Amino acid sequence: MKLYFKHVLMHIRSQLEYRASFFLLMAVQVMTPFTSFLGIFFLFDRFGNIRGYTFGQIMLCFGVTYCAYAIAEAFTRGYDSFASLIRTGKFDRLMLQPRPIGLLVLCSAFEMNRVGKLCFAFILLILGVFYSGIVWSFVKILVLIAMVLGGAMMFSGVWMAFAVICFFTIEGVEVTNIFADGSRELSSYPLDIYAKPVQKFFTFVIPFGMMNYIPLKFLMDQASPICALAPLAGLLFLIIAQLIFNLGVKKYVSTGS
Amino acid sequence: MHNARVFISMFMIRLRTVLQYRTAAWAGVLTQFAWGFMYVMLYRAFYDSSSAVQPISLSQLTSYIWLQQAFLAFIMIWFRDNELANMITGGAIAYELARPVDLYTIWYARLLGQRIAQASLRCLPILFVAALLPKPYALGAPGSFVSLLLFIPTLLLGVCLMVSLSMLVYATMFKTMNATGSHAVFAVFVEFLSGNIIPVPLMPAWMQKIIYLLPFRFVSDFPFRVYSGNIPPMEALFGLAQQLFWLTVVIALGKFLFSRLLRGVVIQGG
Repeated sequence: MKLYFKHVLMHIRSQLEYRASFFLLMAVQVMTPFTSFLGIFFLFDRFGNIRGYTFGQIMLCFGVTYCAYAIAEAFTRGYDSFASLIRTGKFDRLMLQPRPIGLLVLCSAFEMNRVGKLCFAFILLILGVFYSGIVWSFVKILVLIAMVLGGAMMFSGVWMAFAVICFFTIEGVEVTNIFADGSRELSSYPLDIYAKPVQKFFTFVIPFGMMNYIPLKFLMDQASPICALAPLAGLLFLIIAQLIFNLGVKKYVSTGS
Repeated sequence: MHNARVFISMFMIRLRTVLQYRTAAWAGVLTQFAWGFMYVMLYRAFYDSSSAVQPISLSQLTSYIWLQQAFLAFIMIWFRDNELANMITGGAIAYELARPVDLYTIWYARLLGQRIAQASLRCLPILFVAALLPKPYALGAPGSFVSLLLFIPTLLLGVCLMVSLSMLVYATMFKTMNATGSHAVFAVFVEFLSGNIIPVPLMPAWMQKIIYLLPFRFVSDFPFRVYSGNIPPMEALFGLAQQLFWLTVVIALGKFLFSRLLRGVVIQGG
């Protein structure tokens, strides 16, 4: 753990060296969620609600999802750019070091410029907290925090699980990003606006619904307290992803470069 | 005449190169399909939630979304050709300049060929399956036969306009050598202004006014609405004239920038 934070600090320092490009990248990072949010704002301006959800509630949902995504992106970037680790043979070098391999991959990258995105998502989250019409209590705040963390674990899990594909293809897999981006866009709204099969898939197979839709129902006092535990699914998913990854490492054959 | 022949052969070369990558195209088809499905469901939910009459009907909007997905290669601004970028930053541009053909023409053909190849690989499967889907999700028939006839030239002029816009981006690279930051910001704005984030007819009136003054919506929003008949044929003819106008302006600007900036271009590397 200490080792990890040392690496994080190192990455932050090295990225702050190029100050201009750092802030420019950060600005770019904020632009994308900003325009998708503007789109949602315009749609609510026209339609007023979506299946009974208000703008405030969607803001909350959007905020949770994007916060989770930004956190996951900052920390698990190493898995996201995993293909290049393999192709350049850097992965072989990491395997020689006497530390758990998962940790080392995690250490290999940290993206500080995601902070801009995170701030933007966090502002929306706070606005959502006030405008959603939810009566807050201490427990509910805890659940909200768990939703963000659980979501971050879900996204990290997706990158980790998909990184395994790189062991076989060597190539970068576009699929990973598309899948993560797709899930992010999809879970910007509560799941029940979609068709039934989609809801089932994202609740039981890839449980993104566990981290915002189901606990959101609890926050809105529309579901039993058991739903408050749903974000734990994120942790479970991350553990499974880690197991898959370890399995992949065992099967790994170096590219020899 | 000479330029036209060069244009066509360059175009064909790129077409064949891209057609080699069939697996990537299949992956693309699947993703585009998933995204399209998600958007259709999303807008259905919005339309169910309000009883007010909207400026574009749900079935027209559904067609709009499927066409967007099918012709994604036509409408994405940041369809980056790394080889071109490397030529500029790596110095290989010297060879390009030594060729006895106009650089603008040859690059234009190359970019256009790439986009058309990508789209031709992807659009047919998407359009075919989307048309076979059950009712509320299906790609609808064109508004009328005339709408369909007008859709084809407007779509092609749209992609030509897109390529000429991206030529402006490459032109600025002669000066800046780097294309990541500022171009990415530009791309995000263009995405929004051409109706790729949310369809233009669903935006508030003041935003639409701004968008109608700019060329970007002619790339995607305009042809897709012509298809479904949301823009009636007479109006579409007027829009087609506007497309031609913008295309001429942007190409002229691009050629001007190319000749100006190439005069002072610094060849990188050795």
